[in-house]
Amino acid sequence: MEKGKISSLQMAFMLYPTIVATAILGIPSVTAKFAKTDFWMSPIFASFIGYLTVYLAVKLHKLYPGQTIIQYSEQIIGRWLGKIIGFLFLSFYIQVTGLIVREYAEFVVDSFLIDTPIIVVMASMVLLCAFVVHGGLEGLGRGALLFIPVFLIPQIILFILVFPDLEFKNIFPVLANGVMPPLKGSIVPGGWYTEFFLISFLLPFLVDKKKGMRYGMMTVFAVMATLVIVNLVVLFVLGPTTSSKVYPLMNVARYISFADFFEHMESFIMAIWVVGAFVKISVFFYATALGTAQWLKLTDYRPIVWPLGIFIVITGFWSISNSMDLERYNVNAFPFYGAVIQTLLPLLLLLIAMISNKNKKNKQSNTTDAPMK
Amino acid sequence: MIKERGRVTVREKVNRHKSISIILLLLLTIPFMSGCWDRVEINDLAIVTAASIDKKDDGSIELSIQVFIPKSISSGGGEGGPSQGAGGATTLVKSDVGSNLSEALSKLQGKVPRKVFWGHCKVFVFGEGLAKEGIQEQLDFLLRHPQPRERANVYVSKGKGKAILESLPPLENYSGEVIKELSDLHLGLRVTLHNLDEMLTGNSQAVALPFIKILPPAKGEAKLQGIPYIFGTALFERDKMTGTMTEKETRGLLWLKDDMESYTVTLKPEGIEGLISINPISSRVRIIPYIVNGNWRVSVKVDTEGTVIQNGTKLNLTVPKSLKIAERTYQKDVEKRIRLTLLHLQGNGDDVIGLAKEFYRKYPKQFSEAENDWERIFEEMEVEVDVTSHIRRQGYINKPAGLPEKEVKDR
Amino acid sequence: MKWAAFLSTAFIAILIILYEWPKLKQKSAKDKLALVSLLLIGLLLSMFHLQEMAGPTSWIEAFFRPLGEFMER
Repeated sequence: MEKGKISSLQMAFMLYPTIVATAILGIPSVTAKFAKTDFWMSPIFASFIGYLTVYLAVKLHKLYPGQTIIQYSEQIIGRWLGKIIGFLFLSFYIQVTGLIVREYAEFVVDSFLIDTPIIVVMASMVLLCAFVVHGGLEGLGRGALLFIPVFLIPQIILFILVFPDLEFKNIFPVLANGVMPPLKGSIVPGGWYTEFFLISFLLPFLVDKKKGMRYGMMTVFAVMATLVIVNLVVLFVLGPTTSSKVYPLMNVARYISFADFFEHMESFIMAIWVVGAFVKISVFFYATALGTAQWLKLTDYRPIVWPLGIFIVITGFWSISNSMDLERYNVNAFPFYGAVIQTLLPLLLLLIAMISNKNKKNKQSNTTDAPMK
Repeated sequence: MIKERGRVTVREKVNRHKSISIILLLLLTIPFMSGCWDRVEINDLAIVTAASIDKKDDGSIELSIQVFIPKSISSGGGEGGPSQGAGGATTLVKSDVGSNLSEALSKLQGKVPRKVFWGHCKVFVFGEGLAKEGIQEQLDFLLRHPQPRERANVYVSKGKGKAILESLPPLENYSGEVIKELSDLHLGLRVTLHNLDEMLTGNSQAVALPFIKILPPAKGEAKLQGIPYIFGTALFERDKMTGTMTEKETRGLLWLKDDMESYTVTLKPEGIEGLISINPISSRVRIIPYIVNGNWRVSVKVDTEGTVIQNGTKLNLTVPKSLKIAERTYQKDVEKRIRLTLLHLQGNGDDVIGLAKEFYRKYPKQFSEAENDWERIFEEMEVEVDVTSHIRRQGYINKPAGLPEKEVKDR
Repeated sequence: MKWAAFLSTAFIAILIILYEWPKLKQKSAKDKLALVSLLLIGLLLSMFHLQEMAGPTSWIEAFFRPLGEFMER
């Protein structure tokens, strides 16, 4: 179905913006609400679920090489249960992609295109991503490789320019109320880390499959490092006001005044946001399209990219009447939903697969042993 | 032959089909390219350079904006720079009232033919009347709206803020620029919108904003040509203004906030005739909170270096003994200034230095327990001021100027 | 019923069919069926006032309500 191949480096560069893009903008404020001045630690705690998710995806792929979760779940627990699990995954990915598109558009409309109808922003992004997905995984991988400088360099420039405004003392007191607040704050970023399970849709198409695990783990680490740095910068600039901002990193960028000359740096944030959201939506969209085609046992996923695009736009609107709804969902439901679908379910599958494989092996060894005697 | 021709036409057909669909697609994207809904032309914008918010006697809010007039700047091609002829003001001031800031703004928009744009507004002035009744409600607009910058400076004006905007200072293009430049010189406090937000949400719940008023025009100048200047500090408890501090006390506050940059300390050495002026070049201030046996204490450690810029005494500062005298006087003077400010602040219970924050950072548990009692603790707190001062440079002459050699002390 | 949304979705659906049909010709009937039925579901959904309607997102939020309450505390 997918004839393209990607390298594991491309996979890493597809996953990195996928997690970071939306996690650096709004999440610091949510984390700060729970963890106060310790919110920079939360991504470190949360990253463990990321490592676990990558580990599960790679292990499962080793047991069933060349297949995605939609395919091997049917082999692990039978056709019908497998179909149900596949459906859970697909409905999860369609809905999450819709919400990401909505989140992307909310920010754009909130701060830049104030008078533009949100549907235009959403539809144009989905259209663009649909073209990329239609073009295949190879195009997406190369695009991610091409765009990674556009994603990283503005971040680095931002951190350099904001340096004079950093008030390092804001980090104190460290752990004033024990480890519980930052642990609770890590629940929400944890939801973002579970998105690493997307790796299971990319692993079958790697040229260098052996490096999959290493690059996956390295990506988790890179994401963690980025989030910690972003959170620290936000903390050093905004201090106790962080939790009252909707997009703290935006406030940080706006606060920059370097040598009275470098001011009004919002466009950098916009570049990061648009490029990151583009890669993120494309990767999710790709997983959705490929998974749906495999679930329906079609010969090609390309034709259904378009109707899925319509689905994505529709779920971006469905029962979310305002941006506050979206934020509440992202805090109250998404982290748990994401963890259940993308970490617990694969864990269960892996356990079942390992047990049944052992049984099979035992039987095989029993049967092969028998004639020997 | 015929067969081949047929093949060519099939290929041509496919090609034509492809190109038509590509052209159609391109046409489809055109409406999205222009960004019609949010198209902003610079000549449709009224760029606000400064804004003031006042409270009227009937409780309504008066918003005044100082709008830049682009024509005034672009005229001077060969004349070299903006022409400031008779009535050639570069800004105009418009104002309107409403029950809150945004209503006043929407009414005001009706009076300005261009869309009001806040992105370049670097000065927000709260009138004294509004400040006394609380600024929080109006601050919400400034922090919520995507255009006003968190970097913009905030001031409180004596009397109405509108008067500040209306003044036409001779030196700068408009009064907003004057205040901003004065803040950049660190002559008074410099508080940005973000700092204000931080102080209001922080532990100490006290705010200090620069207090400005208009210097009346000198004789012969036009009536409106007064210059606004920073002459002290307005003190807030939560979001309500409760008092002011004089310029002298403000300098002590600047020492405490480690924001001393560009003015001179003039001192009189004990038992010696004449004055010495010193320019503090660098200073390092450390505020160290202690809790010893339930006693809350603060130690302020100042480490400052200065340059002599005028020596009216007969001391020869190249001699270590005389230099010691000058340094000691400098140290005493700084300490006295800081003590004066602390006396005022502790008397009113306004913790604008942010001691609460320092305590919270070092003793989070104890502070959380005592938070409700903070004002009393602050008022009764013992403060040690420890100043170390050095005079590092003496300028271009090494003896008091114009003094015969034999009159100079300690040759 | 929102006519504007419905009609524009219908228009997009027609464009999609026009674009994909020539390529689908040599493929199986299953592929065609999948495309058309997915489009029809999308078309059906576009007729409702989706923003105010209960849907997957609100169901999930209701499902995780106990945990959500933990987050709000």
